[in-house]
Amino acid sequence: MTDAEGTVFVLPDLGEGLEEATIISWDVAVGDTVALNQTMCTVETAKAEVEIPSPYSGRVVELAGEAGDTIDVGAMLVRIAVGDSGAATAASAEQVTGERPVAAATPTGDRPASTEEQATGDGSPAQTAAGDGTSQRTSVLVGYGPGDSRRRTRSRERRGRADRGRRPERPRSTPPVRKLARDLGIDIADLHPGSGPGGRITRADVERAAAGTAAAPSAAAPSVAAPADAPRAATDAPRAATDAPPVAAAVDVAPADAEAPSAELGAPTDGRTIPLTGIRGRIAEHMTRSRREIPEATAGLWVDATALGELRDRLQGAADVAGHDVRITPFAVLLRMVLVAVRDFPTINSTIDIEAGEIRLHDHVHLGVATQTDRGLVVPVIRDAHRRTTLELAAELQRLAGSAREGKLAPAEMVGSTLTVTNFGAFGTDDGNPVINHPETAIVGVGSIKPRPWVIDHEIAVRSTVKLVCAFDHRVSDGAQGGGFLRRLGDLVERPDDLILNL
Amino acid sequence: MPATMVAALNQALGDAAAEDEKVLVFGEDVGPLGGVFRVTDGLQDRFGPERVFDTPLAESGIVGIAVGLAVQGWRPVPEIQFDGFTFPALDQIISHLAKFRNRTRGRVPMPVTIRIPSWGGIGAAELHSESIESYLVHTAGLKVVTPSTPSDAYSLLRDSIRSNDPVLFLEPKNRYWATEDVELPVTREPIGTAVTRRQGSDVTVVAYGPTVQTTLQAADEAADDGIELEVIDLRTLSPLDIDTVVDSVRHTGRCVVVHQAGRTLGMGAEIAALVQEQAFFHLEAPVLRATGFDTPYPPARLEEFWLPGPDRVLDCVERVMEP
Amino acid sequence: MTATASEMSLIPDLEPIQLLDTDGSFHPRPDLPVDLDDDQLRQLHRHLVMTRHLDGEFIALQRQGQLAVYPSSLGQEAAQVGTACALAPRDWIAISYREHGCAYVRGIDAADLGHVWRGTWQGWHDPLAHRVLPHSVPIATSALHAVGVAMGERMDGSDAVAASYFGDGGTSAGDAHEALNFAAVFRAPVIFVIQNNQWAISVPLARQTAAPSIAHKAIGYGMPGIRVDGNDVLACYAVMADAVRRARRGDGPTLLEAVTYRLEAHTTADDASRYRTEAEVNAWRERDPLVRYEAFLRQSGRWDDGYDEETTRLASEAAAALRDSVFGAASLDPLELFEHVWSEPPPTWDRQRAELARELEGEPDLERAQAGSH
Repeated sequence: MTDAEGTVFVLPDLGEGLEEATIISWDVAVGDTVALNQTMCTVETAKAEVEIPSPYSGRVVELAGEAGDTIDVGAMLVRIAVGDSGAATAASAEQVTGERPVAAATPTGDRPASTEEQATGDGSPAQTAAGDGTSQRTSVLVGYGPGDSRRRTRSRERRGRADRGRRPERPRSTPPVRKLARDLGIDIADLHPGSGPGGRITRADVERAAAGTAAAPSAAAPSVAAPADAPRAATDAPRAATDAPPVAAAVDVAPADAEAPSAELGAPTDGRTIPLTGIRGRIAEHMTRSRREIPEATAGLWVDATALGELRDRLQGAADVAGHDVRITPFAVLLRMVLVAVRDFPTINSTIDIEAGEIRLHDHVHLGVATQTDRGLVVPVIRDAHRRTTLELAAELQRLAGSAREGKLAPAEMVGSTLTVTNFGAFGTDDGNPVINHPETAIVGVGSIKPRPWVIDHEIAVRSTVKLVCAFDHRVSDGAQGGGFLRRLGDLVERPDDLILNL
Repeated sequence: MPATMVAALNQALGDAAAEDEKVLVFGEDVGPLGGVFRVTDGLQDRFGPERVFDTPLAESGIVGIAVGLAVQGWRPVPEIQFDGFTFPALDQIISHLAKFRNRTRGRVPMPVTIRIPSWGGIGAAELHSESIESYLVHTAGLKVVTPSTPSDAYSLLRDSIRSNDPVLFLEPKNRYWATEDVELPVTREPIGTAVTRRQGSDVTVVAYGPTVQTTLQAADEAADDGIELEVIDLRTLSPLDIDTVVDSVRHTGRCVVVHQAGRTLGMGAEIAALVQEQAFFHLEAPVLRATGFDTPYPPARLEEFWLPGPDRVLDCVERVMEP
Repeated sequence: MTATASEMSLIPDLEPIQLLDTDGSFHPRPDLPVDLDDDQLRQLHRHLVMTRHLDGEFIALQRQGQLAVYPSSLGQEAAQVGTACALAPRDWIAISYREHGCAYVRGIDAADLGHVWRGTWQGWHDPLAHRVLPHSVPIATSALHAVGVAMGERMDGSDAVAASYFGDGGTSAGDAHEALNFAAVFRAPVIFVIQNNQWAISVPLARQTAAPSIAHKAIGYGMPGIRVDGNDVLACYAVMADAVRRARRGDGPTLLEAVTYRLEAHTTADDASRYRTEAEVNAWRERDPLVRYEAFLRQSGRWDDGYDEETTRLASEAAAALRDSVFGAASLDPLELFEHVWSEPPPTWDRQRAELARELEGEPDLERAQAGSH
């Protein structure tokens, strides 16, 4: 590739690991005809003076500087209009005994590449693009020195590896999960295949197994006096005692496989079949268990959401004015209301332990938010939601939703909920009959907020309304609690001032 | 019929030289003396002093002329008398033997087999008990082969000599006089193949050369305690048959490597790296190594404390079996 | 106790053998015949000119950033060309890295050397076709290879010989000693051509040996040592031819010390002004092997303008061909790195080769991420 005006020859590394050289003198001037290998200039390197012969014959168009100037290796030294000389053939060779002879022939045909082209990776000295003066040389004793490394873009892809076993293989898992299983007294082979890639048994598999068996304390109750060396409950915040670093553990936890596209929903394999593995398999198991074990009842309530909408607008305005970069949705405000409502109805935020024969009411609320992603339903958890401000709730909701969409939820963010809220209104449906997120004892559902016919003062009006539902474990909550909670929530939605009174 | 490893090696050399007239055997004291371990006994009488000859005392020279002879079309099988004497020859081995084919873009192969009595356990003087395999395995272009039995000694040496690649054939000198009931000639698994010497379900124990016997002894003791070791004899260190090891670990979930060489950067380090890379999710415990220590090889009187014996192997077994 | 006649015969003359003096007059010696006809004498000159011309082109190419490094043979043309011309095609040469003259005499294309200096690959020419071993970087290690090759030829019943080329610095290296010793003990048909160019990078001969001359070292091995004027191409030829005859008839190896001078620095990366004077260099320029030989050809009526032009033209064409081949030459496919290590690659390399292949395609290394996950 030649410039508009001639071919650039950059200053090469003269073999001494140079970064730069100083021009001592020029033997040619702009406009001169130069022959192949004719000395163009003398430069001084770190220690010695070196004559540089011209790689082309032609006419000198530009010199990089004057005597005394310093040029970087890789920067332009001279520009030559190749082949353009008074006489097309170069001067005849002068062979002087004992001195370097000059080749008589001009370069035949087109040069394979100008020195500039060489910079783009044909294996010649790794010189950076001519003219920008940047140099990435490293000092070496002999040779070119290491050149520029190539940058690559990373793309993600997954491929399977053929299995090689001749005899029965052990169940797959990670060393720390195996240890956890041992500590919990669980035979990991019983859990095979697990919910991880390739049937790998994950931490969540083990924890679920532990929660479902008598051998270990329920995973959900921090208030139980657990023995000092008992495994950490899945809902406890710190993962302190693990052998493995959190990153390694994180790979294994249950819905962690939001990251593992082993069964891509929406992209069924074979066009027709969706395997019940990975996330889908787990969801299937989970839903089945919930409906099988929990005798649930559902209460429903239509409420006027106008005030909720207005409150949201005011809150968003206030947030903006205060400079918070948070989107406050009606749903976020509603979560705040749920948290207040549940205070008076603690059975809604509880866990039942049939084996122990007790219902455990939690002081804290870890709010699960059912979220639809490309890969399926995931339930990120807002931990200690009861302690968060409305703003914090909204921000956390936004963050988790974003992470969920990108498939980047950390495993720790998907366990430990004590109460789940589902916004099926996001699908555009008015009403719903949600499945309780086992082992919780209630789930709150929110339908679409739309203008609908409403009765005010015995007259039909159009109001923004929403259906709230609560499915509850009837072993734990009676209608008074289930319905009462829902009514309370509805009151808060319709009269948000009560919200402030009760904060 | 019982054959010692020395006898097996001797027969392999003779059979190879008889089969291929380009085979040459040379080194220090290999001619009339028949080698300090008698491995080349009788060969000069049988094949003459042109094909079986003594050289001046110069290991670099021995390997250097082997390179030249190989260029010219011969099939040299030189001997370096003891492991520790390989060091002066490392320049020729690393700079030329390992690189000639590559340097010439495949035009000039190096069909050279260097036999080296190796490792310790015979109460010898300094530099007669060295473990040099790491230097060699790490050098791209070399093959490193090591038998643990007389039949493997015969078969692997024949294969090494036939190979057109440079082979460093490391002979466990403390097993030279071990016998095996075998009719020679015999063909065993080829270069690059590990063999399971003993099946077991509890721990995969990987060994080669002198430590195979050590490990089998440990296995017998472990069996008394109800622990079944699976013993794998690597037979070739480069190219390494890691698949056999990994398949086994996928079954047992536990792995111990046994070698005389000091722990740091011994073969155990490479095997542990590969096992955890390829069988991580099958592991019940870390990969442990029962090895010599990171000190110079000990004096004869302290050798038994330095070398990994069955006890050290069993100690590692116990640790990986721990719940 | 006086030395025996055969012991005495081992002691070389300190005075280097010379047939051409510096003004080009030829002084024949009956014991060292120069059995070359006119064409061959001119061909000798052409080789000298070619070597020098290509050397200059190589230096220019390096200064133009086309080569990683280049060790010049300027000043040593006669020592290399003269000795190499005394070998037959069936003979072998083990070079070090500066013997470009030997390579050209053997028909090796300058571009083949160029690709080594460019860093395209570690070796390029076909060693078996030219019977010239590849460049050998560790000093004097190739001397042993020459001995092995020579032994191999002799065991095959052929009268082919091997020539081992290294320098004054090389005589200090252990492998040189071992090679000389092996060659003498086995009476191998090897000629060791030691180009004493006075410098091993910056270390002068006086620091390399305390022997009266390099040729004197041969005494200790029990082989003849001969000093020759390395800038006298006819003397180099004659002395080598004599040594080759010796070797062919089974009389064993010879050590030749060709006394010459390295006019350029050790390589293009070296700065000779740091350790020697321009005056010293100029003094040796006065003894230029090409000037001397050209004078000889003129004086002996073997020169004319037609020959001169033709020679210059051929040299220029060769330089241009070298330039065409090397300038901007493409690199090899990096995957070739996996191809020539063993006769067959082991299965474990598939993984590494695939890693590199993926890197080349711009994908991350996935095997590493995947290994063991299933």
